Amino acid sequence: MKGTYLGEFEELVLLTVGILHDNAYGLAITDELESRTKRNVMISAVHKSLVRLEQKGFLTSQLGGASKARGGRAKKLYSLTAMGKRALHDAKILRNSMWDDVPTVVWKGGEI
Amino acid sequence: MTPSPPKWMTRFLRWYCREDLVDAVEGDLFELYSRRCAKYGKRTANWLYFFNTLHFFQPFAFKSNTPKSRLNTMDMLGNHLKIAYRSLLKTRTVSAINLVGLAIGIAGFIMMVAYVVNERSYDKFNTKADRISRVYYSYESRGATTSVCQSAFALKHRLITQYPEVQEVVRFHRDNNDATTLAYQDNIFTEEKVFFSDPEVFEVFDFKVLAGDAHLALDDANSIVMTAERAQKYFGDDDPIGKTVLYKNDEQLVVTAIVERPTSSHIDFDFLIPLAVKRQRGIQQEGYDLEKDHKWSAAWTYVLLKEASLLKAFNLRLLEDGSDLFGRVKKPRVDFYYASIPLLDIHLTSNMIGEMEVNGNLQQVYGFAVIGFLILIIACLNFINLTTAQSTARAREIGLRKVMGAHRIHLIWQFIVESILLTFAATLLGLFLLELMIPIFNDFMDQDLSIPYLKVPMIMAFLLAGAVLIGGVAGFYPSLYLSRLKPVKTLKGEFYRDNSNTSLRKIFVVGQFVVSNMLIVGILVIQSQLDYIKNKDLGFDKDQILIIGHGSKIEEQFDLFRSTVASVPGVEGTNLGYVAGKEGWVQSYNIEGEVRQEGKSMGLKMVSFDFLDFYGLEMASGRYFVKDLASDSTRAIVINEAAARSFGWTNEEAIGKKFSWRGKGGIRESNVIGVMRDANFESLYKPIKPSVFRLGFFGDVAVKLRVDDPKEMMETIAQVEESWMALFPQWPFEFVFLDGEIVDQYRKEERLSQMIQFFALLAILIACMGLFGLATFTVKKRTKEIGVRKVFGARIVNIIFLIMKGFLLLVGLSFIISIPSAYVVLKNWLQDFEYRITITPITFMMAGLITLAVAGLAILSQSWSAAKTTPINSLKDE
Repeated sequence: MKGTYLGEFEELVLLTVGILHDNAYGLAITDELESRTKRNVMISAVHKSLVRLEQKGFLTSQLGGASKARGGRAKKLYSLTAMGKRALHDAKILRNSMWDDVPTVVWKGGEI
Repeated sequence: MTPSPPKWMTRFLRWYCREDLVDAVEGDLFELYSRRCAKYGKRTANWLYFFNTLHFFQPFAFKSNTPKSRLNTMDMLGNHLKIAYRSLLKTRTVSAINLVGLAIGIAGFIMMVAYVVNERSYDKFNTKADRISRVYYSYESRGATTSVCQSAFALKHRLITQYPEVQEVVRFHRDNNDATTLAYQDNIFTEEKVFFSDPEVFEVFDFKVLAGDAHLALDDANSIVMTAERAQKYFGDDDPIGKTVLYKNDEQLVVTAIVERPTSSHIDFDFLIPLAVKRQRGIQQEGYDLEKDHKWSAAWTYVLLKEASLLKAFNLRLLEDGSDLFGRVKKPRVDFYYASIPLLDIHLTSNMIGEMEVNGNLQQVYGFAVIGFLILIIACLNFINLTTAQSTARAREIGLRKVMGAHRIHLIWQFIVESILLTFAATLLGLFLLELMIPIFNDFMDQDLSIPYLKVPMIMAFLLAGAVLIGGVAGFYPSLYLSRLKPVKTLKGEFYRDNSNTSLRKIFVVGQFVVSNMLIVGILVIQSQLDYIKNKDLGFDKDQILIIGHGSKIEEQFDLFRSTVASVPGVEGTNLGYVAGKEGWVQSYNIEGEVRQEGKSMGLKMVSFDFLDFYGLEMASGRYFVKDLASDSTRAIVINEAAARSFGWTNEEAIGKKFSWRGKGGIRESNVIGVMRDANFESLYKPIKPSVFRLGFFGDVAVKLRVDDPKEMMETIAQVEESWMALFPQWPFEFVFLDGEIVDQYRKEERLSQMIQFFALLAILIACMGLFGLATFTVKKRTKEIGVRKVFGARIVNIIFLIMKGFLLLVGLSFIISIPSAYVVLKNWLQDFEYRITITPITFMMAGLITLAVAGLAILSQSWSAAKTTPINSLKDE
């Protein structure tokens, strides 16, 4: 299946959706990413990733309540799908196993 | 109050952003905006907001649903085209018939339209056309209104001085009495379309000037204007301007301008000469000044009004002022009135005495338009018929399409598109055919049609729109019909049993053949009427008579000519004067002893002593003029039986009656010395005109020959020419045969008949093509049936009869339907003739047989090949 690959930014967005749990919408995700990564995050880039992740089936969305603060426009609230959780999990396992296989000597420095 | 971002930026976002995303994005950006407003101020927030909306301008956010469905439509269109092409190829014969039939129909229709447009465009090239009208007068006498479109020369001065609404008056005049010869060096010709006119002619009419200055062209009294064709005839390729031509052997005229021949004008001239030339000659030769003549109606008088709206008032004033023909009739007892007819109405509606040429006929033009339209309809019916007939072949396709989810509207569109495409192809083919047909048509109808495709872009637009319209209309019924088919039935193959559309198909066939039949009956009746007229005994000899035109009085030398020619073998006689078969003059006569308020208008023929014998005429009573009695040339007249009848006399009673009339030297009187047997001197349209014959020694020369062998004929004519040239070297020897001249009077009918023949041919052709197509289809459908029948012992004749029976019954039915309407129309047409044939059932039988035979031929080949097929071939595939 095409596009199950997760890019770095996509993985971060996916994780953030997880972190924010029931308030994961565009701006909140951007804010969270900015505060954690200390990077300048473009809101359009976030939305782009969200659309793509939803297409891949990692995310699902529903419309949330509109408020005056948002000019009367509804939020699009995202949540992880089973496939999304699985993808994050796989990514984590992949990292962990790779971590595990890095020889200790690499970390300690050339003492052997 | 919360600040909000500039509206236009939001609108921009909403314009491009897809619907399921737009609310979320807009909301996010709004939140961000409020936050930034608080932090950086409105200006910066606006800028940042603007950049945000720009950042979102990316493919992922675009409205993406449209491209998807467009792709599908394109695919389907491509598929439709492919299928259309394949199904055309699959049924090659029928498709070709369909295409060619429609092409012929379209070509015929376009040609008709071109003809009608051309007829209606007469005189429209004149930019002041709406302000020009021709003056005429009418009078009512004995219950009939007679209109004369010529007036007296002097009327011009009256119109100019007394009518302030008149800006300009232009007269035309043509010499009818004697032929006009023109000469340049050795090129001497007799010309017919030589008109005298006023110098202002080019101010009023916009004849196209090719060389020379039109405004000054007729100012000099010794000038002449000619058409380019005629210039070529006289001067070859030399520059004609400034050359001198010799008019009637004694007048030098200088060519001042060359014009294009005005073919789309009812004033169709070859030469224009100033009226002053005519006037000068009149004054010199006879002391006659035409500008002072208030009596002789010989000038076509056109007025240019200052404004088009003044026409009504002008006509009203003419009516009031001219009741005494402007003083020409001292005590008028008949109702005279002057009026004027707008220039643009003349060609199609005017039919007065003294028209310049035989004008068009509005009814005929519309009649032809109807025929053109009928042909188009026949072609369309054909198209519809063949398309629906072919539907069996397409039934499975339609069934499958429906199963695959096609809606009915999709199928309707598919077939309409297909039909429009076919119409386009047919139009192209039709235009090609048209190019081939137009020269033939022009030849037939003595027309000068051409279709200026490139000059008038509207034509192209009309053609395009027409193709779409015809395609749409012709494709509509088949598409409705085909799209209605039930998929289950068609896929099961039950469609063959569905015969619901065959009755409509039959009606169409009948309709086509009703039209074709009517046209064929028309051809037969018109043709036999023409034959009847041509061969009718007119009551005088007209065969082998040469008429020689000339331009002056030659009576002194005529006797010499007569005696020279008499010695030529094969010459039977000569005559000078009125030529039998031609229109004579008209004069009013009063009869002594009868109290009449006005004179009786009668035909007048100025004849010679030889007239009676020369034309093989007979006297009913009394005697003819004799040379020995001097009084015969001054005080004697002969009348015809019709004249005697009109006064209520017997032929014997008429002898000795005294007639009086107004001549050059006042009232003149004569006694009737004889009554001549009636002969149809004038047109067979009218009853024989009551006529008076008087002695006169001028007019055309006629020579009667009696030669049996055509070779000898040429020799005899050559010898007559020799004698002529010896005596009258100044007049070219140009002759016509009298019988040919008489036949020429019926050219209008001849043309009508040829035109109808042409279109009847087209109609029949299309109808038969349709029949052929239907037969092809029927045979195909009944292959198995025929196979079975043959197995059971049917012979070829039986099979052929089986197939042809159905079609020929339809043709027969349409024949019966066509009879009453054809009868009414033709009966009406024949009313125009005083002497006419009666329409007999035989004519109809003939027409019916022709149609049946042609239709039979069209389907015979198909029936034949069906009947010949070996049954095993048609039955094996099951």
